[in-house]
Amino acid sequence: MKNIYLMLSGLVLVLGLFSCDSLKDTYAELDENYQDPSGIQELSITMGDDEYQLLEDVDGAESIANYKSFSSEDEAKTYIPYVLDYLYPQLGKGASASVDYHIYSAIVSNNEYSFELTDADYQALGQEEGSLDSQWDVFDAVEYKLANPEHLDLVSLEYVYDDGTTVDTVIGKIARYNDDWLLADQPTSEEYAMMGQSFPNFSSRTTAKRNLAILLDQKYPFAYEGDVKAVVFTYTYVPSGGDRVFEDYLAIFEFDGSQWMVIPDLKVANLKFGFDGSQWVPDNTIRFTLSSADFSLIGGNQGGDAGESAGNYGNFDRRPTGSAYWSDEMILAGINFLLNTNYPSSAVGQKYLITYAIYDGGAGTEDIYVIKDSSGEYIYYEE
Amino acid sequence: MKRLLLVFGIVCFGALWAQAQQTIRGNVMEAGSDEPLIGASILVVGSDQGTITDFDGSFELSNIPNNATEVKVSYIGFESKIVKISGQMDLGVIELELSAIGLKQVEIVASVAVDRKTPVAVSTIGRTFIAENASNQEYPELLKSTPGVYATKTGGGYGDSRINVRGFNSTNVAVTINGVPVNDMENGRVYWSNWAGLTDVTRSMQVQRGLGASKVAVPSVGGTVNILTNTIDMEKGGSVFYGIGNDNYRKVSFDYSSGLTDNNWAFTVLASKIEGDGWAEGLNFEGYNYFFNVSKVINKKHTLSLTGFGAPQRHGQRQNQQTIQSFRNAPQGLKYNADYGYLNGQLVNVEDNFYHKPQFSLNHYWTINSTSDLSTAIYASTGTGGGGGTATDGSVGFNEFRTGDQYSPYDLDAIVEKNLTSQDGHAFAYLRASRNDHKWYGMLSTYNKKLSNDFNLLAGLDLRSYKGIHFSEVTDLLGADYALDDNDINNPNRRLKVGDKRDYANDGIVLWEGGYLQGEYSSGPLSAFLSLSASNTSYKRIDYYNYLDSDPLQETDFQNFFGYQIKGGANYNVNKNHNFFANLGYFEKAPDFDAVFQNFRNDINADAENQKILSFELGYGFRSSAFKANINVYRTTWNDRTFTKSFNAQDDPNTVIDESLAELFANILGVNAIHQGVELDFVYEPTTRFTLRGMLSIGDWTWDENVDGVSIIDERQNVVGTIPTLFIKGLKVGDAAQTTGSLIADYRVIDDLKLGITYNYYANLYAEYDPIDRISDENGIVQSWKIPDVGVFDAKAVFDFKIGTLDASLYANVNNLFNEEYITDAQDGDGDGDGIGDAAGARVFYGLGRTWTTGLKIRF
Repeated sequence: MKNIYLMLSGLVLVLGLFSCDSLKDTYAELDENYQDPSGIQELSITMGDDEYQLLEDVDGAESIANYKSFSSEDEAKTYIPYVLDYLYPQLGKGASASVDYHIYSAIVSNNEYSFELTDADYQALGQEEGSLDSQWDVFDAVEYKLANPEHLDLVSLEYVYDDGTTVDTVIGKIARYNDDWLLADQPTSEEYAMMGQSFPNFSSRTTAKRNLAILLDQKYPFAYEGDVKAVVFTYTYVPSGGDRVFEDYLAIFEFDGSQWMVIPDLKVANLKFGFDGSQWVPDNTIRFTLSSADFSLIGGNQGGDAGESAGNYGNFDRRPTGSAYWSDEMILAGINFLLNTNYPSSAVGQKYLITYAIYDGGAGTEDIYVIKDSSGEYIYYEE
Repeated sequence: MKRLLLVFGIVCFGALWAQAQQTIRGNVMEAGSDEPLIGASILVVGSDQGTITDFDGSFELSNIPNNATEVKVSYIGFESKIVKISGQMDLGVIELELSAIGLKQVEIVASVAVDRKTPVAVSTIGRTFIAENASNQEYPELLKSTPGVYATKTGGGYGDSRINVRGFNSTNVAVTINGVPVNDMENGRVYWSNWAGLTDVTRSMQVQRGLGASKVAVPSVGGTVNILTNTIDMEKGGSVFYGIGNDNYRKVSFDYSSGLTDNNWAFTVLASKIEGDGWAEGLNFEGYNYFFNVSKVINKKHTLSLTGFGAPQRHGQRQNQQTIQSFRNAPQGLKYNADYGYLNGQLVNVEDNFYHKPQFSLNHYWTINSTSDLSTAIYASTGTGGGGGTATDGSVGFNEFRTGDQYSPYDLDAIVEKNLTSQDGHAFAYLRASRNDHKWYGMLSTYNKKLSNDFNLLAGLDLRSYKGIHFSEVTDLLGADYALDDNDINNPNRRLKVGDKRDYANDGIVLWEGGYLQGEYSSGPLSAFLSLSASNTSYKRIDYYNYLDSDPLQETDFQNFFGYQIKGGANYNVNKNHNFFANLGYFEKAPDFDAVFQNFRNDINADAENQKILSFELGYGFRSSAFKANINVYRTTWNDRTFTKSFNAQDDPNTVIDESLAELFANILGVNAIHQGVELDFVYEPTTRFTLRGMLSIGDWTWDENVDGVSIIDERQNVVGTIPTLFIKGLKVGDAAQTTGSLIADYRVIDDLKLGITYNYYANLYAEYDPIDRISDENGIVQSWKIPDVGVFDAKAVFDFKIGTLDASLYANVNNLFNEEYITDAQDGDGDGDGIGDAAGARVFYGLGRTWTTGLKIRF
């Protein structure tokens, strides 16, 4: 009898060896490459005062902290990762952040030109009297003198102006703003005085823009929302160790329906970053998951059993044997169709990481990572 | 593995102890099973000297008169047997045949294999084993400790278990109940939930591996599972049972047998109810069982017997396999189930299954004369039911509606809210069920003629008529006014209410005419058989949705396929200890319905090829009173396994063809598999209190050769394209553990208390994949992901006692005793994008964690 007990316990012991933790190695293997989805978050943040403050002690970023803005996109790409690192050290590979930040881009004139209309010019413009008599005439004249204007070009044009009662020679400042010409207001000495300036100039651009807006409110109270005006004012400063300088400065104002507002120097821009496991890198990848509507769209374009299946079930059938099989090529073609339909104006180099549902006997998901190439086609993007 | 072999070695040596004994002794067992008969009487003929068997069926008898030559062994309900004792001290195992009405005939109809006579590899489990191990296990799992068998619970739903034999799935495993085939007539599958709970009335279950002994043409590529239910017990009596288990498992059953009455009537009835919440989430179920048999012995020549049974049930399912990581991430762990939801605070089994398939058979046994008899069974079965699931209009996905994170149940209330926003009242999302009803009538008839003392001739007919009715229906509109469906070409743009058909509606009609002839020779130590059978299968498909009622194409002509099999074998008993057997067979199996009709339309694949199976076995058996063992080798080659590929012309940019011939398909021939292996099983009883059963099955199942450029043929027999090479040579067959082993140790601590422990070992289990997806050899020919090997323990206890004068038994079972975490089913997938299946990409079902049941049976 003892033998049997012995044999039994021996058996259990031996067999026990076969039965402990059969999945231990499998789990270890999975853990090695595992990306915990809780670490893959999609952030959307705006650089505020607190965030800029974080750059205070970063070498080379002191002024960014100070002015709460970046001077270029490259600067933003360099320093925003510091902010993300500080704020989200817990996130894992695959996390992404869409960051709104401020970029300083003072409106200064682009190229400055100076022309004087000659008799020949007046003749060519069809102004037989040798004078201009409307704003449109002035714009025609500028256009005649400057063939290919660019945004924010500033033209000084000396011409004879006939307003119906008096004929004067004036030096007009005409600014190119987007695709339009604007005849810039130039404050008179009286107006400078009214704006509290002892001299006909400003020594502070901030004050200039504030006060000019008030001036415009008084001069043009009946403007329509969206009207734009350019003002050229004189800015003066003394560079260290030099003589006082006077410069023409351009400011653009827009009427918001109740008052004139200066178009600010600080602009909000957006950059996307991705966390690669060790650092945040600029990344323009847009991520999304195909919706049922997306499947219907792609399926409708594909047609056939495969198309019908995608529309009906909201997934791609990935069983190569089935009549509804979606090959890699078919999926890439479908994604091309979807992106070109829904985002026709995506820039070259735009990347999309798209997750889609599949069926291959069980339900699951797959990802496709594509980038728009120079021919406008989406191709596989290799990280 | 080596350790396991060592253990088997120890056990085998042990067998040698038990030989030389000085007193007359033996074991009385029920024929065809390993079940001892307790209390059988042994009487020396011509004297009043005798004894009765012990609880393990053993007996010892001393002081026998010198002139005694034989003993009579008898037991109530069994046919008595006279055994010669001249010069013989150890009588070994004495098997008594049941005397139940019709049992012998049923065994002939069902081709039940007889030990040391029928030359096939076979394992049988009997009533006691089933009663002690049934617990919450289903038919397939009861066979998990027999060689060549791999059984799992798949998603864990009630009745959702599956069985593979020698690496072949249920399509290629013939299942018969009392000889009546039950594999689906269209796709060959076996739906065990149709029979869930029938274990209560099962008297034996026999697995014949390989071609088996079956006389009728059945798809026994992997093997045959013969289930014999109770017929008429000679003894009057019955029992009640009440059991409970984990997750609110409850079972109550009642059975009663009248015994044969004075006017030669007899009846047996059983009714039971099983319900529970299921081990994983959303698997709640409710099932009933009924069984009855009424028999009338008309006279010495004629007996009529009517049997009916059914198991109506409804159960929640876990349909979708998930990645291993999903199960690890899910807060509910291995119990995670993505396929159920909540509506108004009530759990809804979004994926469910409901079915009721009653089967009735009227058997007539006619003893024509002393040398011939005829057994005929006329049967009918009707199936009603199907499986629930989701439906949408394409603008939303069900997965968008969860109560919380991705691991939470469906939020059906949110879908109701969404549906209420529908401008035109149509449902964005709703619930449907795919229905598969059927009507099946058949007749099986076997004529048995004894031509001489040594030679028997059997001839039989197997006729079947089957109609499958397939459609989908709306089951819950989830708050919408109607569901919009435009799939019925005869009735476009319908507004569907609950119960209305949708999506598809078609019938499959299968007619089957089969016949067989078998010669059996048995003389002294040699028995042999040669069997020839042939069948004609006719398929017809009627498609009510894809064809106008006025279109003659709505109903196809019958498509006929001819299949046949020829097999033979012999068994030679060297002496009472040793026997050898061999068998060889070839059969051609008609293609399944789904291979004949393509694209879910009436597109006929008239050239669908027969599958060709060639199989042989060699076996050896050893019998002694303490040790019984069988070992066999087998090799099955399976050629031209049915694979068809159908697709749209525009799916394949390389194929430039006429757009009007959009529906194409290819019959992929030459996809061959070789399944070979060694199977060993044994029973060892060193003492009367201890039994050790063991099994080791080592398979080598692989795909044979690469298949080169298969032509795609259009309906005008033009070659319109080529399928690239399939790289499959040497790929392991997936979906079933190629190596399995088991040990079952039962120990009777005291006379009334038996404890047992079962160990099952699974190895070389590869994830399932479709060989015709292997169209690239970029990575060479790589195996699918190999599921880690595992050993799992079960434990049981049986306590027999008396309540007053009534016998009672208390059963207790714990399955997966050590709560082992292991994977039973996997679909191959590539997680890291290198084109090779791996653990990260595989989608799996885990085995259930620890479960338990306990129950009390009282006999009266």
